[in-house]
Amino acid sequence: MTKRNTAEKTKADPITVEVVRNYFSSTALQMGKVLLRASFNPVIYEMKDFTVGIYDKNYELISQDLGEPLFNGALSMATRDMVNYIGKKNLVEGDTLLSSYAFDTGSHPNDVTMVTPVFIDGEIFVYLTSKAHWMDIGGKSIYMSDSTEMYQEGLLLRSVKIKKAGVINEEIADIIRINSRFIDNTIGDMNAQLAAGEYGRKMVLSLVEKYGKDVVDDALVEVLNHGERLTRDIIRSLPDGQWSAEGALDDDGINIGVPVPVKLTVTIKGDEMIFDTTGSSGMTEGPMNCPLATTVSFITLIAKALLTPNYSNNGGCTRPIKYIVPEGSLFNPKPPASVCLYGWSGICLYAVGMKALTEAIPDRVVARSGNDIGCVMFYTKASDGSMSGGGIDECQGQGAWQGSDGTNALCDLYVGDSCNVPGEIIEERYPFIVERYSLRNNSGGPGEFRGGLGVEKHLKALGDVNLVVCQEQTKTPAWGLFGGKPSTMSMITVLRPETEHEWRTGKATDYKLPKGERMWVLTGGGGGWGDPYKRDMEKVLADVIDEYVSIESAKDDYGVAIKQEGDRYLIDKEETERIRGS
Amino acid sequence: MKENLRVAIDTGGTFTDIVGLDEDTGEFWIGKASTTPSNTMIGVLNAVDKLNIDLSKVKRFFVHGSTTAINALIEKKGVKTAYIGTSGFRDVPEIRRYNRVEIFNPKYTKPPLIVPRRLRYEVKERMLVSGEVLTPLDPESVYKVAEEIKKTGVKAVAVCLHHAYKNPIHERKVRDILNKECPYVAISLSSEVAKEHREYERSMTTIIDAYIKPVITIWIDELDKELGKRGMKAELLLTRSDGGAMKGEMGKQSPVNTLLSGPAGGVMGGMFLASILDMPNLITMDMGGTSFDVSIIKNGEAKISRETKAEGYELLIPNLDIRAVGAGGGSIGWIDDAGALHVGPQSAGADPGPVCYQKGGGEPTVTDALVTIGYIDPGNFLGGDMKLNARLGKESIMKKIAEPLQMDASEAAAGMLNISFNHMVQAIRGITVERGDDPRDFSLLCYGGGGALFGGLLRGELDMQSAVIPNAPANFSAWGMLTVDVRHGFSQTDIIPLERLDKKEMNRIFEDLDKQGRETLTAERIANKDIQILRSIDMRYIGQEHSVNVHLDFSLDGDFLDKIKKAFEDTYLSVFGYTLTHPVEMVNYRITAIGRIPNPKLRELENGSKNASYAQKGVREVFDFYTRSLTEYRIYERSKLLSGSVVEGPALVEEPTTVTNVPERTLCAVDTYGHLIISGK
Repeated sequence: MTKRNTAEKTKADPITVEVVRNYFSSTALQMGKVLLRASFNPVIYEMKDFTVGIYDKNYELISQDLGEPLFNGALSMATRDMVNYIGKKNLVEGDTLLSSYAFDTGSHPNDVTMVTPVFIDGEIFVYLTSKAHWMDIGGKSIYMSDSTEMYQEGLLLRSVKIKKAGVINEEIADIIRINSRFIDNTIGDMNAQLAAGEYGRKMVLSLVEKYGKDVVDDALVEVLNHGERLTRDIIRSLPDGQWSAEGALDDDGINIGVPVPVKLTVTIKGDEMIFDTTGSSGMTEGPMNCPLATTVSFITLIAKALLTPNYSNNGGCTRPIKYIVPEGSLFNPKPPASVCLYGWSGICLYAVGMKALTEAIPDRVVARSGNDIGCVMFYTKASDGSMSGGGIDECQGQGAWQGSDGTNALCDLYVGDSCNVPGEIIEERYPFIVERYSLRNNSGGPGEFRGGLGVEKHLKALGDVNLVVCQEQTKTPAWGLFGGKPSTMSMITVLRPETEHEWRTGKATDYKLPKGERMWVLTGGGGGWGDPYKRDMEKVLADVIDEYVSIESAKDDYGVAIKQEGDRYLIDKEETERIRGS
Repeated sequence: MKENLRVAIDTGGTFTDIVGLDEDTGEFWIGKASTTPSNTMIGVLNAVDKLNIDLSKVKRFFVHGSTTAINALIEKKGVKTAYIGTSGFRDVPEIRRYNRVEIFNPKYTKPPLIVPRRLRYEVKERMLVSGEVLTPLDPESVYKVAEEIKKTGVKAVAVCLHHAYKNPIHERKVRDILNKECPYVAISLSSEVAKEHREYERSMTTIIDAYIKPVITIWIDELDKELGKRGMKAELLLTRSDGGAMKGEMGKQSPVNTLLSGPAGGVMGGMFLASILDMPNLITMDMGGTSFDVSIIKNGEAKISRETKAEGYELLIPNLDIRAVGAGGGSIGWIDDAGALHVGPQSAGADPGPVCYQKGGGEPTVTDALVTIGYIDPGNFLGGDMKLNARLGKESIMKKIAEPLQMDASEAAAGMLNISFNHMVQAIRGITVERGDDPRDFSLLCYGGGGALFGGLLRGELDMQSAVIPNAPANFSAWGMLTVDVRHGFSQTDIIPLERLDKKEMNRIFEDLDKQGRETLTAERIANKDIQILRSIDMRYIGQEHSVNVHLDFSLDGDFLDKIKKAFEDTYLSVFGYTLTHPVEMVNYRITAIGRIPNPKLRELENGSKNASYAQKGVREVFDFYTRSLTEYRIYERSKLLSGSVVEGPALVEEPTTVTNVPERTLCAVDTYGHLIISGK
């Protein structure tokens, strides 16, 4: 690469700033592509349960790929804590740190986090960090809803060097191998993360060689300041005030039926927002504890989605976002708390945060989505004792917003560009046959703007399968806003339906589904927006024709009477006026 | 008198380009007419009339790259289409893969439904992943759907049944019944449109095929008729998304394959030049009004991708892997709410276009920047046919960019070009890196209205071997179509571990595919001797999802399993940079059936002196955006340059439709055919 005669320069002009911004954002994207293409497990390559970020020397995000947004905010703190644990002075060029320790990474042990520092002139210039969900890293099962301490959840490695000065540390790799039920998958994913880090490192070095360290450094300062200015300007335009909302988790997986309260208070003051989780539950006995790094990630994600959804994300955007999260609570647990289902607490926090801001920024918020991601993990044991497994998430109906129906069957924002595992691929890989995969009729919350529909998926086991079902919010319908109604049904799993063993549940660990029996996963619809009686009756008619809404619901929820004449559906105007008028 | 012609027509967003070639001498003529979006055929016929050629003298073929299919999709002007799925799965095209493309946008919505739920039906049947029948097709359920279809005024039906790629028998039975019950309805079967696993992508491809089929059929028939009226007896060939062509009749049967053929012409021409110039590794870049398109030719062959997206819809069709970024001549420079400068992706396109076009455009564009700092001579644009108003362009840059950033207009214009240039750099880097290629192993073929202005600099920035500017770069896409071959792809998914692969079974699958390929080409009247079949297999490590395409261009005698494994490992290594010890499996078997058409002859230039000063027509001061300094450029006239001459940078080589920038410290050599080849000094 030719070096431009800017070596003596130390200041970046607006043009160089934009060039550097784009360079880092495409580098992060390309790192994500490298990771994705080399990974070995569908949780990464289909569900995209991974992310890649580039962090500056103050651990602020410079740029990220399009992986899981919920991971990203956590990586800033994770990078800091991993580096601090081992000590900056103990890092050299070519090192990569690996951690599966929740109180550094913010996640359960499966979400393995790697940090590769990039050195320029003997000093750390940026950190390349990735987090990816490995299929198995030990633990009492491949996933669980009933762990009570972190030791049960998987192999704990705290900021160890998986790569030392450019060479893979085979001792650590061996520890991982012997602790994993699916060695090939796991080592494949480890290599994929290392490859992404190595690619990013080369790209950063090449940029610095061209522009010089000081210019790139200066440009990065401005890239982050720009994100900060944008965010502060928008917050300043919002009304000052304080708002709270509450929700609850169904239970903690151990104390079944005992709800776990979630509360978030949001204060807008000048050009800052303060999120306070005081009033939420203390630490739980079961694995609902959400480490601080991920709590902060969900909080910053609420702000990002509501304030600057159309701008790329960086650490500047989070500077005006403050948080108060009491230590030793659900959202800031201490070791050795169990954390396996930490994400589900975060999901609830996200929804509660959106709800809290309804009054403050009605034009930006959306009604609650179908609540949960319908996660089912499973494994089978062959006669020789070897295991294979997988996991399938689902989408849900999205909440409506001012001026628009919610979208049917779309994944929630915090999981980003995550994809389903297609039915044909499920049958190729896993011991199931998919008997139905469809929209769930009538599941959208009624409103002037209707909530989106959830889905239903019916699986039949072709062999004896062990299930780990992780679902939350089965008791809380997705709430509507401004008179919009909640969705009629929220997430549930039906095990062995239509048999005497039928069990409707949200959480189950190591549940044995015998060969030939079924499991249905039903996901919730989104909440509605505005009074359903104000919905355009032609739209209600169209929904009935498309079977999104039943004739009964049209009448009961929307006040629109529809009659059938032969094959045709017609609005009974007189009757409708009578109902709506009363 | 020209007795033996070949004609290509490329319908673009703004202009319809025509190229006529005299097959005997290699001489060619170019012309253009305005594109007529409501019915592109009118633009095509206008272009034919303008070039004033005798269509009865077209012997070999008349090839056409059309936007009719993609326009029908963009404007949602296909026909009322129904969908038939397996019982329990009619919502697959609506659920899609449920992903949220805009990850921070809580109000993200999916692209609009092409088939509303009320027109999505289910039939009772079920095929297993093995291809065995679990539930036989219940004909009654099909008759019921046929009744519905008759009542609703549906004009096309897409049929996508589970695992039909493995066993198409149920889909065919559904078609038989529909043909009998509603013979006027166009039918597309997923097992024919995209014989691959993944039900959503396959269903979407089938739906779009059905949706545009009646529109394409009418259009081809009319075009055939109109060209016939003008005396044409030669075959009408349509370009395909994979860089091949097919006869019009075939286009009516699988119109989805024409969908992304728009930018394919240039890549076809690129493959031809790769062999003529002996540059087997070429990256092609096409800088037009709205976008900057990049693709890769490696070892003389364009990279074909199996999946793509159009208008937000996923498609499983073979396509030239062309990546577009918003860095065209019309890309707009703008400053965001917090004071950062961006260029694109919004574009002023051709209408209203850049400010200097004076067609009502108010936002400063890349073209305005090029004029402002002297790369483009405002008095000599389109050979002087279109006067540019440099002052207006400069004023808009001043007001919208320079003043807010406290710079002068030249600095601001240079900055816009710099940002746009870096988008191009990243686009090239992105497409190479993803595939494990290194730009340094490639030359850069530059065309489109703006390609020649940036090619020399991109070569330097990415340390590529050379930048090649073809003749008439602005019309290169149309010219490239003259070099096309007839081409069809066929595939079959059959997942089996390599170690269990049976040579006989593999040969049986390939022979079936070969047969389909040969039958298709024979139906297009391609002689047997001109048929070439290329075989390949998609393979992967067991457990991985992403496969690599392994070419079977070697003999399978002897230990064929070892040979296939070795070929897989070589390919995998070149893509990912490492190999693993995991077991390997076969995923898809593929063939490409090619009907070779003799390449056109190229006209050769006379030899000239090495020193090109005879073609110099002056000097001009340009504010060089790359070095950010005012630089004196020598100006040359391209039409005067002769073979063997060398232009030394900094220089600009002008021709009516574009300008070639020969940067400082580079040399630009003219080859026998008039190509400009820029390399480092």
